[in-house]
Amino acid sequence: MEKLYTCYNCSFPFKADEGAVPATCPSCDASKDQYLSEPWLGDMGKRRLHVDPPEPEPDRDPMDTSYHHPKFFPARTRHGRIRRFVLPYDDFEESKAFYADVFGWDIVAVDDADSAAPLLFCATGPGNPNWEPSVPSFSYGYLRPRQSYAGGHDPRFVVEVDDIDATVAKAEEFGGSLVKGKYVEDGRLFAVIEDGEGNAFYLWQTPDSVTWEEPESQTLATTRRFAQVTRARDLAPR
Amino acid sequence: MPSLTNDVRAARPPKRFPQKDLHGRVRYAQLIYRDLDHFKRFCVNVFGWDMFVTPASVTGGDSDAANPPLLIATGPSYETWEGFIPGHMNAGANYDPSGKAPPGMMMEIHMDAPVAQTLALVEARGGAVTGGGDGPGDADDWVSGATVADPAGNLLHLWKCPGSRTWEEPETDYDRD
Repeated sequence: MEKLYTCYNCSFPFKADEGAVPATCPSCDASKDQYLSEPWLGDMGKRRLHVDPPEPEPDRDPMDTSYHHPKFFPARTRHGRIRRFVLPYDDFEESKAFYADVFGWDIVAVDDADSAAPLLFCATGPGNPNWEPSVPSFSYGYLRPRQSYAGGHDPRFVVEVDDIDATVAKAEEFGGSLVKGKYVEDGRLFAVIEDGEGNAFYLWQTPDSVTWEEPESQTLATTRRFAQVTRARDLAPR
Repeated sequence: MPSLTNDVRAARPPKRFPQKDLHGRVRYAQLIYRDLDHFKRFCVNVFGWDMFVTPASVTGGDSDAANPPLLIATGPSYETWEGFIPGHMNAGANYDPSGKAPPGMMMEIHMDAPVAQTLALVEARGGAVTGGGDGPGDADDWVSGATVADPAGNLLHLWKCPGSRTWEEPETDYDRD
């Protein structure tokens, strides 16, 4: 019999056959004696059990990797977000056809693209007219000609940061290194770093044109979801 | 690296994704680490990320306790560690002292079709299956999936969500008509 289970520890709801429930919660790893159960009636609107989710803990040790609610990320900054994936190609027509046919991506060349070796931008799910995802928890990204940087580094992700200079300094302080220094492309600032662990990243500095009202920015309204842990300074304009 | 996002001055918006299906979405960055403490210090101090040990139900439960897989929030996220602001993805990180499993990405594939069906299409379009794959009788659990390479050799970790999904999860939205 299919039931709806709600984890008492983290509030995660999932449906499963009562003979095949996972031994630990798929969200928080709590043992299954933490599950509350009710009949699955085919519609979450008919759900009767509700568990309040845990709340972010402002003073939590960030090195503690036991389960917790993710930290509060303040408004008016997108620092640290992985915003794009980057996939190299050898034959752009072959790679473009692969992702369009197998995964249903919508792929376009960016403006002024080199027709022989274009930079391609890929929508991998629902999006807004400005080609930003409209649904949380997935990413758009690029197909680009194969290239690697000094040391053979081949960054696969674009991380948005407040300030490239400050981020590079922090990266070097904590064991990373600069792969390609700050450069301007199409009026925007980039750099390439690696973290000392085998991961390289493009850094993209948040442009001055951001209004913080974009769906992909964290607005004050969404921030207030965590009002109980929001400090006044986090809401103040930068 | 050229420009981002709104510089895609396409004359049209992206196509619609009207199916109740997350097939093809790039859901998580897959990173690697060799030194857990160093990796954590870097992520926390440089990027401001937050992380916890990935639950055993998701990993299959056979991970190295001293060097566990991690789930990382790179931006605002729910208690489920799924993002709640569109436009960024969270990450996973695995211990890889050999460097044999380069950074890659986790993509979701059809929930209601066998993994083998997606793998056959991957191979038919010039890709290759490099690991895993539950075959036609996929287990309906959180570890069902496979690793494939695209025509350029990029590794893609494919994940098939089990039937536990309720479709009330914010990340499961789609273009409704």
